[in-house]
Amino acid sequence: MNILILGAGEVGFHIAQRLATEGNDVVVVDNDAERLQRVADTMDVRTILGHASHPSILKLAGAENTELLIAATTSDETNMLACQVAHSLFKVTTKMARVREPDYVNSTGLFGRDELPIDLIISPEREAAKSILKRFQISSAVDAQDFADGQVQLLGLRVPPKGILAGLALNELDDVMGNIRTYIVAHEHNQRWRVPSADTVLLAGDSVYIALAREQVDTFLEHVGYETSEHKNRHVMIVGGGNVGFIVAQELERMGVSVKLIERNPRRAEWLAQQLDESIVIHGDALDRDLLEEESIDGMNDFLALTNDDETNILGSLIAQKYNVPHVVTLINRAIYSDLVRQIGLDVTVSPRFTTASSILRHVRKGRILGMSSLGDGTLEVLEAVALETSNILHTPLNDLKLPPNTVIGAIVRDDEVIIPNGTTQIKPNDHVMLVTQGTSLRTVEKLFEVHLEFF
Amino acid sequence: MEPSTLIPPERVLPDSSASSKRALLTELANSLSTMDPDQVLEVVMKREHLGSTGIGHGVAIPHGRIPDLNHPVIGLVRHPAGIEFESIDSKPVHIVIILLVPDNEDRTHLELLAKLARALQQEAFRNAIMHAATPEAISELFMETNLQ
Repeated sequence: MNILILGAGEVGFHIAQRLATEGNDVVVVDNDAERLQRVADTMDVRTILGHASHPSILKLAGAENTELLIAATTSDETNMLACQVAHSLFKVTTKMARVREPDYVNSTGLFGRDELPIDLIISPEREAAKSILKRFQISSAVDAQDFADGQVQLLGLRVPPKGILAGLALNELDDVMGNIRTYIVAHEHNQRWRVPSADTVLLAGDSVYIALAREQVDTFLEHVGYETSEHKNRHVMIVGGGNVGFIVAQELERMGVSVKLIERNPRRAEWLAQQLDESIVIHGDALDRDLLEEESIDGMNDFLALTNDDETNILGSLIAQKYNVPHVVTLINRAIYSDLVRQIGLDVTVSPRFTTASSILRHVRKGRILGMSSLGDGTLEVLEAVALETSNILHTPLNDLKLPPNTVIGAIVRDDEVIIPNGTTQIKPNDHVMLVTQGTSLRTVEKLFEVHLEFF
Repeated sequence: MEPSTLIPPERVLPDSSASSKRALLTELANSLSTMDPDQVLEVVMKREHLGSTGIGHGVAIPHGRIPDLNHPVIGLVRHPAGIEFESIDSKPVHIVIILLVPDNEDRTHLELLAKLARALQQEAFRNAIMHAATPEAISELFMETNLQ
């Protein structure tokens, strides 16, 4: 596929690398020669130096041949305008733009085929906020993701030392779960992620991803030895009142949760205090222990470190752990930290770059892929796809289906029913399928969902 | 009654040199007079996204449904140099036939598609298209009587 990426920052770089590795023809545009050089040195793509929304630059970058445009420069205005130019002058069919400013994002009627022609608005901050709220709602999980409009939940958990999961072989899972239907789709042991097999044994401290129906989440968590807690009575401390912190505080307020928000910039703090009704906004330094103690950090249920500085977030989170705050979420922007923080005991991290790249990449996949994201350290991918009429995956018992190695189907949603499959289950047209695979098998998985010639 | 052809000469572009799949489909969409090229391109690209219509042997049959169309519209582009189309056999495509049909459930679409696919499966037929001298000659090959 011919893909044009505007902006070679964290997001643009990461996406370009992924897409180029998969054999797509990628062109990257940026107005910074140094950044562009880093791209050219790292991957097999064409680079164009220039202003991303200028018609002459887009022409030079081959916009006439482009099937997909990803506008990910740091400027909202450049991204939006580039999409308009690509649409009007070069008829690029699919256009995505990174837009941060909530004022744009929330203006209904601004985007559309006859308005600003952008097919997908990507807001890294919003994606991150969503992900953080999800972690808040299921706080005993390290990670939690929605599929099929939330009907299917995918929970990332550490196997607790006590409880029924530790020491369990997967073929015994159904016996101990009773009426709870679950499917373990990913397993980590000694920092290696794999798609498990029937004889995999779970050990305390391992991590797993478990697919199950939404209605069974609470029962399941209690069953395996986690506490479930009512949101309303929780006390939450947020550090960092930027876009992410603000959205999260707003949503928590709406859920009736009591929030203390610490913001370093006095003017921003004042603005936040005006915007938020119930939350307490404090002007101060997130790493000031006197301040944290004064605001009774030791009585908090949740600590969310959401500043735009990774180091502050990591240190703040460690301080919170020292005060025994049971649930700590750390926002991490830079890739290099993601692996490190787990080793120092910060389990629950959210990376806007990661979530943003995933939500863009799913649109590159063939077939009707509705959702896609990485699991664990990124070696495994989970995706939700619609099995369309004529596709290869239909009408065959899963046991007989030739899935690529390390690929499992964890859940199927048919109309409104969640089916946790076994070997005899068959996929029918228009089923939503949640599937986990390793990154290298994605292309083969894609083929399963591609339609045949006769599909109209 | 005069024997009729599936592809009139004015819907044949015998000598495209488009530099990509997308550019070729844009050229094709623009050549279909009386139709909105943006809409055609959008529909066809959307369908391609679900799975390429490159059926191998250098042939692709992109297609889709267009609301408010009264009868099927078929056009042909010949690309002597060949173009990457993500075909099932990964070979470059030389003959692209676009098939646009009205937006209603009707078996005739599938029959039309099958008829085209069947004809193009024959090497002799493909060669005849590649060597035809004029759009008229190509159009003639698609006479209903030739396609049974």
